[in-house]
Amino acid sequence: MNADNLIKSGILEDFVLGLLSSEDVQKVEELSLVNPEIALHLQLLREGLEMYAGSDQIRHRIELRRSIWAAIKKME
Amino acid sequence: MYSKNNTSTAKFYHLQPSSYNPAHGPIVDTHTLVEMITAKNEKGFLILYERYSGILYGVLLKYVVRKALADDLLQDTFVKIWKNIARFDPAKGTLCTWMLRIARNQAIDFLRSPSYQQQLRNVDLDVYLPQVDQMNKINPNITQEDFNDFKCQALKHLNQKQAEVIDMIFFYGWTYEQTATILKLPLGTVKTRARKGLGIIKILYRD
Repeated sequence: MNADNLIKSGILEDFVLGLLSSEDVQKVEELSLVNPEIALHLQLLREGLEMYAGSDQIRHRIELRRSIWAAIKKME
Repeated sequence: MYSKNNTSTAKFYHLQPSSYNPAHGPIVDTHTLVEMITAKNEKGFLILYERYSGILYGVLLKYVVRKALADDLLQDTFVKIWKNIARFDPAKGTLCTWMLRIARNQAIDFLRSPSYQQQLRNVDLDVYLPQVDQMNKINPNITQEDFNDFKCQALKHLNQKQAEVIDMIFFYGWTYEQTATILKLPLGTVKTRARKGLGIIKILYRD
């Protein structure tokens, strides 16, 4: 399946929703490594879903990320 | 619950993985990421946070509404993921699905906890309601208006049936099959609604 067909197939949507098998997840990941178009679609789907959920900015909250890492180190 | 196998997606390509994509910088696949976390590698944590914190946080917010609570639960979720990574079994589901289940369980346990129930009884509505109203003001870079605009746009373009299916799968963790059973719909209808709905969200986000 080429990139166009893959993008139209709905598989990337299933990937973002966490509904693919592990085997198929690995295949999509491998493809996204070598195909920027697929990587871009995955990024748009993931970030769009984050925006829909109202949580898209969490990745940029450095202080929260640091405090979570500190909690992990403390637990170890 | 674990994700299903999607038979329609089987064996559609055969490409070799690469450790570096010039267009997108270093990329780590899930298998390598799990190995990094198992080895307690800090870079593994950074990648995990970058890749999944938004999705996990979205689910937590849906359950607990208040940002401060979602912050705490996100921390608990990552700690639990870190501690239990050896229990992740790729044969039973994806890393994302496994982590989402941990996040949902954290939120449900919290909402059922006696301490939270006590807080609910004691909290002053004047304190609680403004926090609910501000639930999506995650940082100064995104305003309530931005969020409302996107959410309103999304809900205007998505029909109610598409939004319902996406919410059931993404926020509450049902599979396609379970969603179809609950809604008494053919499996194909549920898949179509989810995929079309997500496609609309993608286009709105891109534009």
